[in-house]
Amino acid sequence: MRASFAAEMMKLRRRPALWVLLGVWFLLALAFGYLIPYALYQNPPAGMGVPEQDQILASIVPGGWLGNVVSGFPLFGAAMLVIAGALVVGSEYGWSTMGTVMTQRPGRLQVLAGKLAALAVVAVAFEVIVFAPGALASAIIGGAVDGPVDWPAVPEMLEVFAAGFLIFFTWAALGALLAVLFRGTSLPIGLGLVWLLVIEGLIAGFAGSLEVLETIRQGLPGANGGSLAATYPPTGVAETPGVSAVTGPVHAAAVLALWAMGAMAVSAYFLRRRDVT
Amino acid sequence: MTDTLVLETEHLTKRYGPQLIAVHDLDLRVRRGEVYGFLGPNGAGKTTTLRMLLGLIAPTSGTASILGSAPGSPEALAHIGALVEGFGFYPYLSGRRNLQVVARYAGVPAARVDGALDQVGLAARGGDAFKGYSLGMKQRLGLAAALLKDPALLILDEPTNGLDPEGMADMRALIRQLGRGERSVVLSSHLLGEVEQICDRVGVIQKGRLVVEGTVADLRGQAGLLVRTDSPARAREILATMAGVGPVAEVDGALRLTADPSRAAEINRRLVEGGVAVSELRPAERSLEEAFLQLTQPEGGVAR
Ligand SMILES: Nc1ncnc2c1ncn2[C@@H]1O[C@H](COP(=O)(O)OP(=O)(O)OP(=O)(O)O)[C@@H](O)[C@H]1O
Ligand SMILES: [Mg+2]
Repeated sequence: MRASFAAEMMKLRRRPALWVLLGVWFLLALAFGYLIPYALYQNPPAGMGVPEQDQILASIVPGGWLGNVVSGFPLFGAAMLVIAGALVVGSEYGWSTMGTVMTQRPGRLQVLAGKLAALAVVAVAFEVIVFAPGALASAIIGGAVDGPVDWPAVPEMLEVFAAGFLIFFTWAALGALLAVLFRGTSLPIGLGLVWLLVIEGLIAGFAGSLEVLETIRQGLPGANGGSLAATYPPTGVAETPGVSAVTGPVHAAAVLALWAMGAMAVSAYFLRRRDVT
Repeated sequence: MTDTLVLETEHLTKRYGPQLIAVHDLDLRVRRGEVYGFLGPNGAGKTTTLRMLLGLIAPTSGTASILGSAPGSPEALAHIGALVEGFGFYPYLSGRRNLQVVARYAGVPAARVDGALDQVGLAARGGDAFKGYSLGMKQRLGLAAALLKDPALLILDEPTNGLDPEGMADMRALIRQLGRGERSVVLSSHLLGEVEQICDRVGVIQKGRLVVEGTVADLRGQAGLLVRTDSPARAREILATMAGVGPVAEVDGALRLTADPSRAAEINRRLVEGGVAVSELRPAERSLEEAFLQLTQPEGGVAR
């Protein structure tokens, strides 16, 4: 497992596609989390009242740092991680490196464990790349507007980091699962994104009118990721897509953990059983 | 499994669907220290067999034991170096970096990487990205990866595929050298010359079945004579009456028979007496190629 993890990290560190993903995520998060809201605050459009303006400000100063950053996780961030998960596992099929890897020494499950551990590192990297610049941006904005600079307490920070990690790792594991099932990258990435961006949205849309869909929704990873992120207000400008409290935070965290464990278990089952050709 | 066998299969079978039996009831035995040639035409089941031996695909039935362990177990894999058809590398990494990744998985020191690159003649290009490699360079990198573990058993699936003639000669020389001493090598090929040059023992596989196994000399069969005459049909009749003269086959218009070459003079006399003009008479070994064709296409090609 240690050897597989180390080998995995050697590959990941140099992989251009992952750096591109990380860069895009960083730009997206900073632009939509700080730059655009700040511009709106500075030049409010006609019709925007003072309460709305204050709400925007609250999200981009240190007091709103955690909630503002994590609000990008359930949809945009999750999309990045489902792609990363599919890439880390699926490329081994595309490049026919699965056979090379599986004939070295570690067993199949160890290889998979190495990949999942590497994806955990990727999840942390995707957190750091937005939480750190987010803190900096909110400090700068806080200073510029002369507002109160009250940083969240350390336990709260840790809780939000953990919640963010759970959202990210769950989607990475789902991406990995799709890659194992379909033995590649393109279809898994496509299906993962359709699930996250389309199916979850459709079910949410009809959930109000159909009881059974509401029940299903309460068990979906996207809806529960959104619920978890919604625990930490303020959540930015008006409504952030994908962030709404469908369930409570404990329920949401439990459901996400179940999805992550389920995805890992099913991946392990299929990877172990199937022929590598 | 005895001490001297590095690899043993019993009734090893792989089916793909109800119709296709890629490997059929295969019993293979490879001894420690030998270079074993696994010879067969395209689609015979060579790669499928080797993948089963490496634990990549599960047999439908039958068993295999490799270095005393189950195929694909870490204990076995730790001492096996494999280059199998279709094994790839990471395109965005250099050849050297690819080997470092493989070394990590294998648990061998990264210091071996440069030696392996050197051994296959890739040292000068080791820093280039794998995606820029030519087919031959990719094949060499595959061999280098297989050598990293300094394996007790090397499994090479058509290792000269994609190499130019000089590269082929180099590769064969290297394999012969690697096969000296304690190390065992299993080499699959559809090239007879290759197997003939490199291997101690040969197993011929055809449609998933092992049709014959033995040394190269065994496969060639007994020594014989080649007779070229103006009337092959009449010559056959005469030869059929002679004691100690074996099956007669026609090869390129000449007759090949199994008989002690010392009887050449007697055969010549009998043919001439029978009114058959002999234009050529010489000792003839059955080439491995003929043996192979006879074994793998019994109903066509070479007449018996
Ligand atoms: N994954 C698969 N699904 C279905 N059939 C397969 C599969 N893999 C191999 N086969 C079939 O099994 C048979 C043996 O294939 P294999 O690749 O083992 O042959 P080979 O001896 O290695 O041939 P070559 O010299 O062309 O490499 C072929 O008929 C092939 O089509
Ligand atoms: Mg083959």
